[in-house]
Amino acid sequence: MAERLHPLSGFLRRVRAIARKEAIHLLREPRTVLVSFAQPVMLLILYGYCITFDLHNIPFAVWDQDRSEAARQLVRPLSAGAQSHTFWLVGYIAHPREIEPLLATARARFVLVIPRGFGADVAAGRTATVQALFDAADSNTAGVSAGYLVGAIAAHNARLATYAVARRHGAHVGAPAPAPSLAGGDTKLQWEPIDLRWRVFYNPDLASRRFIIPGLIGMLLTILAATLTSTTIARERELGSLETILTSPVGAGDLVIGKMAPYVLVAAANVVMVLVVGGLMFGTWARGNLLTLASLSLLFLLGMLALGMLISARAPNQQQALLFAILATMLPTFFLTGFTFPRSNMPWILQAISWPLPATQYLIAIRGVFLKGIGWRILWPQGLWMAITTLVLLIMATRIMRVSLARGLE
Amino acid sequence: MSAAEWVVETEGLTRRFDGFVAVDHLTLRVPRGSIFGFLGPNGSGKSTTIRMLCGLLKPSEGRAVVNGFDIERHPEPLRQSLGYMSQRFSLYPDLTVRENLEFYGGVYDLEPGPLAERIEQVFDQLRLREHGNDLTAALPLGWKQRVALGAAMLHQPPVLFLDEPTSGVDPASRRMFWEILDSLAVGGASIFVTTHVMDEAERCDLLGVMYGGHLIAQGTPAALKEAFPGFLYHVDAAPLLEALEAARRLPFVADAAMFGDALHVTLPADDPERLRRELESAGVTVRDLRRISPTLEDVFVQLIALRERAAEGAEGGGR
Ligand SMILES: Nc1ncnc2c1ncn2[C@@H]1O[C@H](COP(=O)(O)OP(=O)(O)OP(=O)(O)O)[C@@H](O)[C@H]1O
Ligand SMILES: [Mg+2]
Repeated sequence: MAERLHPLSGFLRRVRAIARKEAIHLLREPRTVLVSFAQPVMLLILYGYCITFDLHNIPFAVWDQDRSEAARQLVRPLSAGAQSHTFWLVGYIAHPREIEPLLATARARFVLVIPRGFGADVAAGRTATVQALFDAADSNTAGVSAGYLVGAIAAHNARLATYAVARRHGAHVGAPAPAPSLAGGDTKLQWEPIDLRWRVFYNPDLASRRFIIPGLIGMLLTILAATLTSTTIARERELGSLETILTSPVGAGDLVIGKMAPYVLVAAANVVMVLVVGGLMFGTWARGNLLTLASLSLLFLLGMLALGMLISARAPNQQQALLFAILATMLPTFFLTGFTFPRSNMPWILQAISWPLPATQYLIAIRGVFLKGIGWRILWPQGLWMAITTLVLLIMATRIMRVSLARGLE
Repeated sequence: MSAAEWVVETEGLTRRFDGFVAVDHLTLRVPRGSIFGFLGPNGSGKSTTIRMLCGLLKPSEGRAVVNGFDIERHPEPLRQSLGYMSQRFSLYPDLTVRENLEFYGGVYDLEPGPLAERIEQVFDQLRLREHGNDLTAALPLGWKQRVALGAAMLHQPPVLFLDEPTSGVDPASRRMFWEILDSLAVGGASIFVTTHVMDEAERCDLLGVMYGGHLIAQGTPAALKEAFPGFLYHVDAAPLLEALEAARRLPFVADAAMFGDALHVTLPADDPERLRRELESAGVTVRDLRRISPTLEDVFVQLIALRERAAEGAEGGGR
């Protein structure tokens, strides 16, 4: 019989054997690894070139029923030729019949309707209403346009308010301040009394691509890591090798750690690749310390691999494992963690639900490192939280694996 | 008797699948250091029994002790002491023979140094060396089965459970396989092996025959043949099929079965002339009729036939 020295050395030998075997599978069937590399590149190209979260020259039309100076003042800063290239006035219309064809052909993304009496309301200090009709077929563009428009109108409101305040104090102000730039130019607005919150939401001082790379790393790690490990037990079951393993002294912990090990390298290589390819393609390089980036990523990565193992321990077959891993990671990452939709725009309940997700914290951390160059000194709460969740996921994966193994072939 | 003498000991071991009883109150004792042959038609519960003994399935009822460890209460030491070769080939096809063995060695806590030596030993013993660096998927079935045996015996377990290890294997590999099993048993290992091949059953120290989840007979091959009820005759007749049907119709014939190009007919009394007369009066030419001693196959076929007839009778009586 085998000599046994120390319980830990036995554990390490078993883990090593499993990790080695798992690595050989990956090397002999490089498709898994290659696909894991191809996906991020495709996503990078897709997000980098095709989908921009920034919009320029959003075409719009105006239906000015009021034809007052106040109405023209509202439209002027929006139209092209102003410092901003965010909007582009395609023309005025005179009849509601013209609205639909304009939107339907996408010659205009929205139509701004200025009602009769707008000028009088503004002059009298009453709340004036304008209406914007959106083409929401591309809801993302519509949403972003709406955001910009809200911002622009808020800026306009601010000018009006300042003008009104100044006038009330008896100072002579000849004309409203010039239109502030919508894409930055915050210096001009420093003295504005109204807080322009929209600027935070749409992050106009950052190019989206810069913003996208760290987000992409976060999404990648989540989905990739969890899907890579999620099918591993089902595969052994389908192959019949699980039956043999179950009669050996291999324990749940050995399997979880041993099987995760080679995938740590695969996922880490993916992160490096996204950083390099993203950098080369878009010229966006991480501002912060790469070690900070690596350590935060590793903490998060281990948790996601453990999540995959946890799914693996319960999934009856490979297809279901994969499906579940994708559902469990893609949907929350996409909709809750702030990858696509800013968390601050979410209802408070969703914000509360999404906060403890490790992906949320990772996204905060990695954006901090990547965009702002901040380090562990500021990001330690994120690091700590990820360490805790990773530990919990590892323990849960081992527990669930133990239960599954104890059930044997049932 | 002390537990040390029995390597496998079960009492009322039962396994149900959704109400269907696959193994029904099995009570079995296998002496240490022997080759135990587990026989039985398809679906008689052999694999289910082995899986329970290896800790892969929980018994619905009853208990079992393997190598001194209760299978439910001490699963961990049990695992260290057994090697299992499942009915379905279960090594990794994308790993080489050596990598497969290294994996199983590591999983059984063998240290790298001793493991490398042990793999060389197994390579010699199973004559696997020339294909040691080939992918397991590329090997012929006989070789694959030898690799699987190698993986099961690598950590030198005192008990080996081999579920149809030679199914689909050519006679030469089969012979080599059994030579290895013999040498392992000589070395003190206990081997629990299922088979459908009577030549192999003949080589076992002890046999157990399963039918419908029950152990219907048990003993050494010689004892089982000894216990064969009635007298067995070799009948060379033409036309053979008509002879078989005629024999089966005769009320004093206990059993009749085709055996190669002749019949094996069992009579409760030693009266071959009556058999010859009745067959000839049914229009069959009897060329040769002599008493023979039963082979294991005769024993097995008869045991099953008796059970089947009893089951049919019970069904018919119930109607
Ligand atoms: N997991 C399971 N679920 C339901 N029924 C099962 C299961 N495993 C086995 N059985 C049934 O139990 C019975 C005994 O099966 P078992 O595999 O033990 O037979 P066996 O003697 O090994 O047969 P064979 O010679 O074909 O290998 C069969 O009828 C089989 O269909
Ligand atoms: Mg079987």
